[in-house]
Amino acid sequence: MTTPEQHLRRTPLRSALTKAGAKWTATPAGDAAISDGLGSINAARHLAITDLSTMPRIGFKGRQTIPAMQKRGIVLEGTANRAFRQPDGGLCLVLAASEVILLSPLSGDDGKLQKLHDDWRLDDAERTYPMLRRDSQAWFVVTGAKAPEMFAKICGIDFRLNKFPDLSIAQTSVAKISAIVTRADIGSTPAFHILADSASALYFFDCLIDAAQEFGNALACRSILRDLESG
Amino acid sequence: MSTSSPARIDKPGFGLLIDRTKSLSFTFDGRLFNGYHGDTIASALYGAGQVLLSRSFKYHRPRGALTMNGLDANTLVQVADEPNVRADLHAISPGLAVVSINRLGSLERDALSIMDYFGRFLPVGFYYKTFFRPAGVWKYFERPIRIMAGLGTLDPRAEHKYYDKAYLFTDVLVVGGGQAGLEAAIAAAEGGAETLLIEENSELGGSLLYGRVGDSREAADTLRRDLIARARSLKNLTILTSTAAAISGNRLLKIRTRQTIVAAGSFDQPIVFRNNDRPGILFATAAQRLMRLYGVRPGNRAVIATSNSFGYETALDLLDAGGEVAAIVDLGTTTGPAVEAARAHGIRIVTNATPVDAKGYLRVESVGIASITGQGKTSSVTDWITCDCVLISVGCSPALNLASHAGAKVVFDPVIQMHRAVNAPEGVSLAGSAAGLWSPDRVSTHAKETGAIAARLASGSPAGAQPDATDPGAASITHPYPIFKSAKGKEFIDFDEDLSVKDIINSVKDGYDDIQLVKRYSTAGLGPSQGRHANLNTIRVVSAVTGKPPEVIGTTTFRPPLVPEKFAHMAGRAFEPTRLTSMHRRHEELGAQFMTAGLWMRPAYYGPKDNAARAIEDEVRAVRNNAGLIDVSTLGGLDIRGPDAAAFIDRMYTWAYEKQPVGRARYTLMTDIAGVVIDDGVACRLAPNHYYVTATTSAVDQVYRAMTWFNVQWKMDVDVANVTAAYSAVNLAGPKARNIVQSLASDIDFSKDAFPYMGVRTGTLAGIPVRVLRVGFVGEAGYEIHCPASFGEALWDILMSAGKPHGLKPFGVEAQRILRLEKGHIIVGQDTDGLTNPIEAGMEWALAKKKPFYVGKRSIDMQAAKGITRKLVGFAVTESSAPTPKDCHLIIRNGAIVGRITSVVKSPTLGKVVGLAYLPLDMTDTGHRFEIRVDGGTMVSAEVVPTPFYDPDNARQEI
Repeated sequence: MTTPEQHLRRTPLRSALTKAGAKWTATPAGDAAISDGLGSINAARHLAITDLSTMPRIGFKGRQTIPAMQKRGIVLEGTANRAFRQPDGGLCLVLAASEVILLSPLSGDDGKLQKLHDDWRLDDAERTYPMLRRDSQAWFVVTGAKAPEMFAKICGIDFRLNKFPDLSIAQTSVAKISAIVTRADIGSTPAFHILADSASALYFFDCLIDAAQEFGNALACRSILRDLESG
Repeated sequence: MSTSSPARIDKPGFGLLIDRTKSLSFTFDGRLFNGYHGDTIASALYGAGQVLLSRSFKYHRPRGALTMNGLDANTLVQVADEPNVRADLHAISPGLAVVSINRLGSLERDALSIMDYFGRFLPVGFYYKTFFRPAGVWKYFERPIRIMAGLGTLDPRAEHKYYDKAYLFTDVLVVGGGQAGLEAAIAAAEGGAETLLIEENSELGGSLLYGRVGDSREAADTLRRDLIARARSLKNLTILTSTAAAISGNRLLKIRTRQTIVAAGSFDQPIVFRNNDRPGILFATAAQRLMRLYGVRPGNRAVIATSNSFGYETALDLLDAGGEVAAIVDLGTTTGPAVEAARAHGIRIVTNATPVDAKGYLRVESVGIASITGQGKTSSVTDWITCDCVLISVGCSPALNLASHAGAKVVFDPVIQMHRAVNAPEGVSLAGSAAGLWSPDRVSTHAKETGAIAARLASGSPAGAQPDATDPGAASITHPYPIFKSAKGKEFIDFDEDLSVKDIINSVKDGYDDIQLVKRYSTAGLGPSQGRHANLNTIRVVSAVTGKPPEVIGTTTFRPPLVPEKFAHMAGRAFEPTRLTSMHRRHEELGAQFMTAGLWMRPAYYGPKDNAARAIEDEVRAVRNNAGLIDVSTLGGLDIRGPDAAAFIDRMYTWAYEKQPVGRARYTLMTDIAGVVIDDGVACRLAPNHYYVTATTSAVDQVYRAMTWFNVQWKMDVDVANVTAAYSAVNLAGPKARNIVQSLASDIDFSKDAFPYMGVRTGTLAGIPVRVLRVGFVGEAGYEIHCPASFGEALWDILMSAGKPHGLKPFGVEAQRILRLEKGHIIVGQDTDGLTNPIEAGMEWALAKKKPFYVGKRSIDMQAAKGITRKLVGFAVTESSAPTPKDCHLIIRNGAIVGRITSVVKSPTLGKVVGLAYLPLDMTDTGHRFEIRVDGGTMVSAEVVPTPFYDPDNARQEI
């Protein structure tokens, strides 16, 4: 157990989640705390919201981003608005031919992402540039069969499961803020990863909670998602 | 207490929606009534013998239920704090308190019913003709008119309720759950389309719920049950009842669909005759609804006025329900099985006749009938028939509102004497009576084909052959002219607005002979019913008066909403994003008072509101004497990276950057192509190919847009990234700032020589990765420390803790405004406006003279050549006792406005009032005196002084 204040890197939702009953554990990299003790696997299959904001992720942007990532062994194609599962369980979101975001696996193992960050050199002139996606955007995961219905209250995109297939991406407005919504099912459970402005995280979290209320208003945590992952 | 009999029908086949085993009590105007679970307010009252429900809008005439389907204004009531509730749709519940509206005194003895005798003083368009002369007279009439003509009462103390909005996505949307809607939805779903069926009422079936098919009630009921069972068995067919386009309870639905089928049915039309508004006179379908749905007999002895088989079927229903039919008054000579059945029951049938008058006040007591002698003409009354209800069925008007909203054209079809929708836009089709089909078999075939076509189109397949939309049976539904003007008046064409035939005729006579003008002048169709029962007869009267056929008269425009929508539906669950910095919680803990900056919340100052001036002054002194810490995370941040980064910055900003050394920051001034100042900040060269540029809080998005737009055009080898949200930042300023940062572990050398003014360093501070800028917006030695946003709170905590021994205080935007003004620094947007060029703003020093290009250069060069007319200068108020001017106070010379103040402050450091103002060039010399007009017209003297006001040699910021 730990507290968010024991770490230099903190989620903008720490107060809200603590109030909701969250316990805190250190991320595997040990550089932040992540909420724990929230939700259940059944709720996560129905509808649940998880904050993964302190989990590792990084973006790359620039005209040569796709070949630069392929050179580094990232599994991806140059198709915009498609996500690609990585061998370690992470995700590569291709936002455009010039921009990607890499999300760590739920294990929180950030070795690969950290290496990508550390190895990058401006002088290499690869025309791809790292982006602090771990700071600029909060990371939420909405899981469960009711997720499309919930999204219909806050977003104009049709997220029905048969219309928005696994590994689809929508760069859109959710609750009036810009958001990247990626469907990447966890096990057999529908899962929508949302990256949204970190400065608006508390507002956005309130919107999600409000929209989820009629479906049970459940919060979950990384360990529940990992349970979903393992079936 | 009133009882729920004897109007109740205790027979099988009646009362589909009520549960007679569950009795409920509620009050109406304070009197206790009983109803059953499933009853609406109106059905329960009717069942208890309370036919009178309301008073009319203008003449306060007694009114009762008309449609029993929420389509008229007669049943509007107040329920607790909710006005204008439709009593014929709103279910009763235990303890429900219902109050009638628009009355003075009791509903039965409304004192304002005296208005009924003053109709001659309220001619059509009277409000255009009266109350405006003599001037000011309106205020004496307004209040009494509002009291007399009000509907429900808004309670400003009403508890806020939760309303929201949601999208619904489907391939095919079917509006209306009657026979046509069900058939179409089933066909669409069976065709493979995801289909959504919405029905306004709580039960599916439409007229199958209460009407007959082929003269058989049983056939209608069987068909309804069969269709519903089939519909519910289809997994790709979603059914929403109690949902009208597109309101469902407290939710506004935004339905996105590929194909829409409008099967919304049609609206009954009244007979226009004297006193046709008496309680107890209602549509035949309303009577059928009362009987079949709620088990309530509309009366014990009825006269049925009709011109089609539906009236005869209603007569048979009434007999089945144990009622008596005094007569069927047929406006024509209807034929068919129902007519024969009525004859077989021995019902008196009077053909080619019509009601022309009614007696009774609070409820109809008898109706006078006369022979029809021509269009709108009759003999004198031939008979008065005693009755307690008159049931009307003389035709319909299709519900074309939605199709019209979508873009279909509405035209009059003289063959069926009804309107039709033509040229419906792609993706919209109609079914059922809305499409002009009435015979059950034709409705069924057409709706099935329409649904199947919609499914094919939704999947991208060809539509195939269009269904046959003709129905010979439609021609026998609607009477061409059921309007019988009386010499004594009071034959109502629009029940909502109390408009009689004479009013429409007089509108035309007053020169308003176009149907659109008639509508606006007379207000026909403007009431809560939106002309459902008035438009067609209004068109007929205008047609008769002008001699033009109805198809030439045209129609008024259908406009949304289709059903009453509350403001709450529009406003419900609005999304108002708020951006908080990573340090926000700390500001709250320190008692910050917040102000908005765009979407951001920023601390204005720390401390209670009632001590704001003192708190701000303390914060200013802390910065000047010790150290202050302000959260500047809202500042915009842009990473410009790539081989052309310097060249790109050089083009975007007015100064020169190509030769800027790595590790140095330089002021940036951005102008648009017109040479207008739009932003400023600093450009930090972190590497030869990497600039970190700051922008103002409010302009960063605009700056980013401009950069990406120009980058696309210029095709430079550079990447622009808006990293505003990625970085948090603080400005640690004051003479002890260096001591504080030097007390923390860092790989950055903060000594004066190693890290001079306008230097930039990257590294770590107390373990946090940082970009540190030595800039001096507030005029003291200081460090703007930027770090990844998720470290922001930790950075704040560490600095506050380290600064404690040095007297560090947090300071807010208000103190910062004072501090920067003491230094004479401008704020773009406050000290500049939408026309300010850099020369006017005194920023010539930031214009590179040798650069061939930057955005706005050509315009600025032209302005420089042409010469400017005003200039931003510093000033000080000369008299210490004078009132302090405010931003935007005006500079006056010889009684004329010659300039304005952009910023002004009573400086705690300088002990005087200083500011910035735009003045004409001949007033800008140092020492020039001028006058400022402050609040109340007082003139305050000031003189031009050089800036900076504080520390003119800039020694302190470079310590």
